[in-house]
Amino acid sequence: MSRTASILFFVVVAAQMVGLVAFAGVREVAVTTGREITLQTAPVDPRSLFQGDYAILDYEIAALPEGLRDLPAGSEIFVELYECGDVWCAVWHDPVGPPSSDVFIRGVVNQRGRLDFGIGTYFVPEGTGHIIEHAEDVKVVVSLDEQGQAVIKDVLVDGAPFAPYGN
Amino acid sequence: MSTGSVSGNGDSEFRRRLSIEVGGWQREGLISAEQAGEILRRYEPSTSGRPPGDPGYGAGDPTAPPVGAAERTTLVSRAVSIIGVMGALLVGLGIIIYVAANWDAIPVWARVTMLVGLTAAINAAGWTLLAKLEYPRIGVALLVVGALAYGAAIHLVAQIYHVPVNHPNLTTAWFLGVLPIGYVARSRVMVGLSLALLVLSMGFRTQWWLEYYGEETILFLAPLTLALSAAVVALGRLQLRFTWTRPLAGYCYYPGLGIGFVAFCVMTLASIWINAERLTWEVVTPEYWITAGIAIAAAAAATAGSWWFSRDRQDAGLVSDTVTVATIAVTGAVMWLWFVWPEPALWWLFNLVAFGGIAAVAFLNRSTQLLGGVAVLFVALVATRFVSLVDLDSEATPILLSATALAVASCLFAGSVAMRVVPAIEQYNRFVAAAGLTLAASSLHVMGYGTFWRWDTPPVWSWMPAEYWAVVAVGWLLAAAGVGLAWWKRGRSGYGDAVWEAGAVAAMAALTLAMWLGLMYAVSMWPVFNLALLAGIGTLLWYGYRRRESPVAYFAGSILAGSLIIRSFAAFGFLAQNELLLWLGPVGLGIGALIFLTGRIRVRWTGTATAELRVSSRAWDLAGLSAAIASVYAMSYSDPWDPATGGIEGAALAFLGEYWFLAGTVWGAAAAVLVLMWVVDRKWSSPVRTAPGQLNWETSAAVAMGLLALVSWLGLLLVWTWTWLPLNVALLGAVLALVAAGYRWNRGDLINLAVIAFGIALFTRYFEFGFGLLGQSLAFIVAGAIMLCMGFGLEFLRRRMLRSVRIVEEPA
Repeated sequence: MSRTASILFFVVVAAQMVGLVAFAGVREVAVTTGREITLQTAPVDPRSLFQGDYAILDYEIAALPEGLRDLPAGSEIFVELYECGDVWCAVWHDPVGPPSSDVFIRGVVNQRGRLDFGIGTYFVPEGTGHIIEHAEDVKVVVSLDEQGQAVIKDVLVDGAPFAPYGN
Repeated sequence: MSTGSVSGNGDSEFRRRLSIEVGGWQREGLISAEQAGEILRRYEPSTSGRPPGDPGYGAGDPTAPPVGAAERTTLVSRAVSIIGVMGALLVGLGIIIYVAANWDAIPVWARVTMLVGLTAAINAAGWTLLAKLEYPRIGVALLVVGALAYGAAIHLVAQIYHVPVNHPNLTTAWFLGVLPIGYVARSRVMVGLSLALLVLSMGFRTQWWLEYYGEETILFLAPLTLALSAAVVALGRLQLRFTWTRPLAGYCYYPGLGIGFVAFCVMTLASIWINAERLTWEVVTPEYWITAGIAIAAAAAATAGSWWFSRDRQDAGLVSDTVTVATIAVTGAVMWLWFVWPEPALWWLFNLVAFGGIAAVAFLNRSTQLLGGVAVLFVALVATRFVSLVDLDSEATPILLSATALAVASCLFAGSVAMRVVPAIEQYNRFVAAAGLTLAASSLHVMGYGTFWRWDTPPVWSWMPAEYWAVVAVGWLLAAAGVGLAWWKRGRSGYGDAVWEAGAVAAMAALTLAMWLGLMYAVSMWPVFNLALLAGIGTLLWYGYRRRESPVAYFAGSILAGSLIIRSFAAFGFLAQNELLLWLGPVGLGIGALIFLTGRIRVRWTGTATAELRVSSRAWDLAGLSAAIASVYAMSYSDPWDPATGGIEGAALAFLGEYWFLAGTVWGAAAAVLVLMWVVDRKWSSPVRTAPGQLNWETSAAVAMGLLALVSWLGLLLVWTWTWLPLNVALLGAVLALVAAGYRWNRGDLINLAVIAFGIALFTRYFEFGFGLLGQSLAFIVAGAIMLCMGFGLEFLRRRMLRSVRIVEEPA
């Protein structure tokens, strides 16, 4: 193999590395700089072949109000949020565009007629999924950016941060 | 287009190089003219690696020197590739499972650094081995690990930040990262892997191409997939125009054609079109159109590039490549237009385009491999037609469908006979004949199932729709016309009279008649069709030997093997996996004995048959021995024999007619071949004298297989928990016997088989044992690492051999 091929090879590998670090970086920035809110959930627990165990999180704010139930799957909806006690609740579901208020989350109507916010999966160490599954109350701390995009920060199981190893 | 390399080519290439080298030595005075002649004779084609006069294939006298170093080097290099890739996959899988399982204890920055560092390190090691140290096979194996590690890294970073697994960008990034490495390293394995990743990422991206999935929205995916297929095919054909990428081109455009074909097949089904009226363009996203635009632009640019880079020389493939790409793209465009005015009743138009397109691709590309593939696809397409044609809720449906299949099969076969008298298409008749015979064999196979002939209410004629009778009538009319044409023009082509072929079509007609009669009078006819299938295969074998057409014989052999394998798994699917393995063991032994003995009897034809037939005889007996060893191995675990550990409980198959029919057929055929072998050696002066003791060796191997089958049947019928013990002893004995036979008959491949069998048995036992103690992932990694080390050692050995005989390297 020629010298050029060697250089090309390591350029490709370097690009892979940069891509991975950039991916992690973008998500890290989203987690640290966004606005922190807490949401109420009801979890279910299947398995992923690729990534070990995870919990599927279904949010209370994912339910559509009476008037919007007939929207086709794939429709984009902005949910305006307000603080109700220790979690945030939905004020208004807006299918047109981002609301004027500053705390809102973007969701897409899924096949089951509920909203999908891209934060429906929470990965846990293998064999610990049952902790979330059997919990009485699960809340999720998410980080929201200004476009309404959410990233999971933490999961509160019965009021305490999820710590399967007890640390 | 030949992308792989046949070992025969390697041999002739080696001889070519050797003669150049030897000429040089002679000129330099290193060796005399006699010595030069001696060296070259040593590697004559007919006795490759053996001294002149030795018939080879274990038939030689025991004092002959070992097999040629060239042959052995090829064997070792293949073993390195297989062991290397297996090791690579195991390590990769292990890494993925291990890291996914024990992950949360490590801080985030450390995890990301670890992933990035590991991926880079594996890739760097792979590249160093491949490019700097010139260990190509093991280097490519490491690059495969690197690609898997990169994929794992992407998914694990996604996991850290709780990005859902099905996020489309994950697999796309994986694909984009692996593809360039395949080309920089010029590795077919890596290009193939990245094409697989492309298909995977297309699957994940569909959720972004459509707002939502529904029965009808799936239709939108077909034209987009066709556009992507056109792009991949065009890019693949473009690669043919450069020396650098030419070996990789096939790994691009064949998958491309496959993707397009699958997309198209979906569109030809009438049932899909039922929902077409509910189609709405609102579900199609901008990304859908962007992807389509990029794909079409890429297809156009690649085609233009093909023309541009071939402008200075004759390139016969340009027109056909362009037509192929244009056909795929235009078909996609037609579909889009169709969706504007969906008309479900016109679904058959797509069928016309499908069959026309297949015919066009087949005749424009004069590549025999592509034609063979096209013939198979044609059969597949015809087969899907039957499913959509008759949607009956009857127990006899498979038989009724087989009747149509048989009509189409005889039409194809008769058509192939007729093609012989038309010079322009004469050369393609084999593929059409193969398609027809495969379809006929499949129909007979289906009709041979006893379960399809047991129904509560006999089928009624009026259930069958008009299309059914149309296909049957048209099929038989065309068949009759084809046979008539061939008969009328008999003697015009180089194939002699059409007696064989007319007889075959007549036999198919008789079988169809038998089927109707069976249905009419509710008689269970399944044994008839099994016997007919066996008779047909026997006739084909006989035809192959009579006409010296070894491909016909191979074809018959593959049909027999395929039918037996499908039959074994389908008929006894009701059994638990453990029990099924045990019951199939003695049958597998019988199949092994049959293949082994067939290979051995082929050796007797050494002097008369074509070179091709001779070369493959050794592969046959090796395959037979491997099948037998694999069967014993499958039965050699203790748990399935023990009811206490969830094993066999009773003689589940003891009274099932089909099972004993299958077993009887296999062992009966094996016994017949054994007897034939004795007769040939005693009565008939075979052109090649068999060595003294050879017949005993073959007979004892076959008898040993028979005894083992008997022991396992006894164990099964009497539910004897300890049956695994003699089987394990036999496994060990077989390994030792193979090593002894290998030394006795100077056959390195027998010794290799013994070593591989022993290695696999040891390895899997290690897994069974190791899985309990270590974590699964650790067992994977350790096993993979051991295999990579073995691969490295073998590669070292191979290079030492290479130094003694110079062989041209082929890319990994």
